[in-house]
Amino acid sequence: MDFWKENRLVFMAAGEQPEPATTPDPVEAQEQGTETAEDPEKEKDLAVAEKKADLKVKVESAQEVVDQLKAIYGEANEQGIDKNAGNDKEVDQRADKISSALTDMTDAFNKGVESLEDEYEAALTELEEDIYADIAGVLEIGDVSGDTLKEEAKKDMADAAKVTVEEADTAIGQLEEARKLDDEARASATEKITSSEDLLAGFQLAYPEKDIASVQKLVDDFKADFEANYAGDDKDIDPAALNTATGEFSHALDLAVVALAGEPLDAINLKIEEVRAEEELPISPYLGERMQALIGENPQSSVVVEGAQVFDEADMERHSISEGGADDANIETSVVEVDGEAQLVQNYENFTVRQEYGSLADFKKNFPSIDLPDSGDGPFGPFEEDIYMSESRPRPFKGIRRKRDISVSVERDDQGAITKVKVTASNVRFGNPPESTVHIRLGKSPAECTEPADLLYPPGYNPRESRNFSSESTEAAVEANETDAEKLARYKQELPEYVQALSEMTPIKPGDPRLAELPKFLQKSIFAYSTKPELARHMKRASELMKAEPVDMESLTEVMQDLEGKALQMKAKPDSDLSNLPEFQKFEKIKKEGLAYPEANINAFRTDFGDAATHLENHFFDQGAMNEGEGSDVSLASANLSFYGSGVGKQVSGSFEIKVKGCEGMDSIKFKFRRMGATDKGLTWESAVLNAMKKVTSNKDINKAVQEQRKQRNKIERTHRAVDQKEVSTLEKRLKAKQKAAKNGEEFDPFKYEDYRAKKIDDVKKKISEDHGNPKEYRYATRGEHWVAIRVTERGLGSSPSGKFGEAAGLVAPVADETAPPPADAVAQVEAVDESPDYRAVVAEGIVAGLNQKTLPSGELMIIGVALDDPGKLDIDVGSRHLFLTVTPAPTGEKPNLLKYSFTDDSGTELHAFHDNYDSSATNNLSRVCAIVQSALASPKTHVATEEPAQPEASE
Amino acid sequence: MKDFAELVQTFTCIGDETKQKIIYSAKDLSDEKKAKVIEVLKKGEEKKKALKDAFDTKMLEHVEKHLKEVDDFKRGPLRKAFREAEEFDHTAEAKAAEDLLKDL
Repeated sequence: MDFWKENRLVFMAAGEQPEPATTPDPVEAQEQGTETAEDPEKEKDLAVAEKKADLKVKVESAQEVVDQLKAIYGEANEQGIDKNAGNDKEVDQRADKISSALTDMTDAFNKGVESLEDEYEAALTELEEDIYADIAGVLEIGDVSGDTLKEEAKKDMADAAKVTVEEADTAIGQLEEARKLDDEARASATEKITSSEDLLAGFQLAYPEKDIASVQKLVDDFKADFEANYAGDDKDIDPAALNTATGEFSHALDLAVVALAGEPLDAINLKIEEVRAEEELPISPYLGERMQALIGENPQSSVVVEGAQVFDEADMERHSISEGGADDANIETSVVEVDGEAQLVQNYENFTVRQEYGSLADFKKNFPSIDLPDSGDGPFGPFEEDIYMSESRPRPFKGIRRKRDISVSVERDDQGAITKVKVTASNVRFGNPPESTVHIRLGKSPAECTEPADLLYPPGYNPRESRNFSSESTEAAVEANETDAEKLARYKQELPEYVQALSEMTPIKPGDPRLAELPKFLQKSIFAYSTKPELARHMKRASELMKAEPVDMESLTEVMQDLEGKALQMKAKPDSDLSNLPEFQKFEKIKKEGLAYPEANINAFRTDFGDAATHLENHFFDQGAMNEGEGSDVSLASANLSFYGSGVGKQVSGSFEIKVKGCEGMDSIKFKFRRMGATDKGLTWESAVLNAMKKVTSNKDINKAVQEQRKQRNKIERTHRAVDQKEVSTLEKRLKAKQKAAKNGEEFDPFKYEDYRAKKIDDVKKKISEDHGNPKEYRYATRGEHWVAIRVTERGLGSSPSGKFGEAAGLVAPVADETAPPPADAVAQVEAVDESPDYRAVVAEGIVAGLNQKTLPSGELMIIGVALDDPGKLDIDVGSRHLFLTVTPAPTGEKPNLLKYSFTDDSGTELHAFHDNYDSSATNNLSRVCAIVQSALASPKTHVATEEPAQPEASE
Repeated sequence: MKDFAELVQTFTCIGDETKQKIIYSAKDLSDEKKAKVIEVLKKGEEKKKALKDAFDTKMLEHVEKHLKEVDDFKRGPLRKAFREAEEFDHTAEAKAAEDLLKDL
């Protein structure tokens, strides 16, 4: 065998030399007349490449102008606002004509390139044929086919090994097959190691008080065993032994973590997810430190949270807080216990904020009920503000009453018109009657509040949207809140201003150099709904909504907010600074926070950075088409972008994650990039992102990883095809036998025509898994000394029997007869089960785990193992039937230790149930439970579900 | 003679399969005949170089011709269309907006 292994490579590439020189040595090359890199020919090559690159840039920039043309011509046209049909036709024709002229030009160029390349290829082929003919003349031989070469080489090799060619073929085939199994077993073990390490890392976060040393040892031991005995692509291993070891390790690990945590696996996984989500909650160091001071071993009775530290620049700007205006915005904060539950108490007694508005209109927007005198600078007031906060606010401020003392002073110009309004808000009180303290329930006892997140993100908060000390509280004390009547009054005042602005509006045009700093997708947002007729339509709609009775405030607010977003645009002159447009502010925020496109929203990346997305797909499409005949099987899974700099210094950092279709279970392929610059004519952000993507496609490791995943996937698909073919052929035999048996009135045994066979059930499942199949799609039975499995549903359709496979297994009615009533024993007898989590759930889980280990050895009745889709459920075969057993706490109230044992079929229908009292002090519980389950399985009740479920049995 | 197989591998005028055929067929040949094979390959390499040169020249001409076409297109029809678009009469839009707002 060793001989074949050593020589396998030679066979697989017959005629190849061990290490062929791919590049000629310069000296030898000279001698032979071949060329080196400094050749003038190469220079011409480079010149062609450079000119082609130039051309590409020119065509792209021309295309950009063509697209802008369409935008300039077409905005009103596309939205169907421009009613002049003649105009429509004309602008369409103009844009289309210029666009198709460019397309025609590019097509003609590509055609020319193709034709030149074809011509060159044909000439090279002809030359090669001539050379070979000349050489064949010298050698005095005829043509030698590639196959002949391989055969000859193989014969040489067989002679050297002193065996026949057929024996050599067989040995090579066996070796290939063995290598395949080795690779698969290794991949499965590696995956298990990775997932176990991840599980342990998560476990440590979720259960910091537990000592994971014993579980860690399990992982380390398995890893060490794998490294020592199985790792390494060229190592000849026993794949079955490795698969068994992986399976045993996996099972032992599950049991160990369940035992350590004292709760079922799904609860553990859920907890880990929750903890990981919390881990990522955004908490600033300042707030983290303040909150930490209120919890832990020696908590302070109260701390002061300073508004100046909490508000960032964007908050200050959004709320028009003046410089230093938040310096006295202090909230004294403490944690108190009320009825065993912790509450966060925020005291606003010392909260004073100063704001500044650039015009009277801006002030009125925020304080519509305060009228200022026509003369004098103030201070005016104090005015008492008394409002109810919006219903859309999250608790505890949702719809809550707020009172504040407002003092105002102003600055005026020479004519006495107000140019600046300064506001001081103090004495903030919430609730009815108004109080300076707000209590927020934390949903935990004080002892359970161990992390800042416990105070900042109480249950019911959406962590991504809000937390305490942002929109929830600090801002609640600052933000203006209007009543609907105040809002309506303001809208009535604003609408005529908008109408006036529209009549004087000079629309911003696409390509305006003032927009060059914005990414294209934000530029597009500027042009959305920005034509005069579209804005007029919005105004008309707002006017109609204002006149309606009652006023639909939600719709009106929506329309007015749209108009407000366009207000600056309507007022902008050709030389105005546009940096106050909402799109510029949005980009400032993006620059600060980054831009993420998760998988669920990856289409947005395609819309925003189309060139980069297309480049990625085209690259792998071409590569796939050339190498494996695959096409668009690589796509972007997620993207994260951070934008830096401006003008010529635009740079983008971030990461891309790509996935290969059909490789869902494999690791995703990630690529990080830093500070990629723009290289196109306009130095656009899109070009920088495209350059980052080019870096991905030119990265050797990424390309290699994609090819590897494609290879693995193709291997799995090949195995699937072979297995499917075999199983369909067996299915036909099974169906024929079934029909024959029915015709002759004989008993039919579907397991006689098995798909898999082995001595142990685990080995049968292992074989299925080794073929990348799903063991849940089969049913199992013993026949003689063996376990056999038959497929009961088509691949990928889940675990319930269905279709022809289900029919042939005798588990579903013939496919054509779908209207037949279900068999009598499938009628449900479902009892309500109290699912409240208590220690009995842990006991129930323990029983399932215990029963699973203690396989019931009684002939027909066999516990196969834990159900694959639910670790709390046992997979059981009763004769030719297949059932599941679930143990859960029974409804509480009657007996404190009552557990329910329920048998269900594949569809989840309960066939039989009984209750049993679990005695936690008894030492023989498991044996006793085994005996009870065994007798229940043997009972006719388990087979005939129309009977009443058994009454609870007492164990005493 | 140096290793014949290695020498054959360095030529670019023939493909891998042809190289393998030659190497295999010539394994028992005399050095003299092997040298003749190398001579044929050297000539082939010259011919290939000439073909490549001609191909590059034609390709360069083709790209340059197209570059000029694109330049002409940008300077001519495209610039004209852009100017026309900028000057496009928006009075119809303004009129539509005015109609919509006249009752407000």
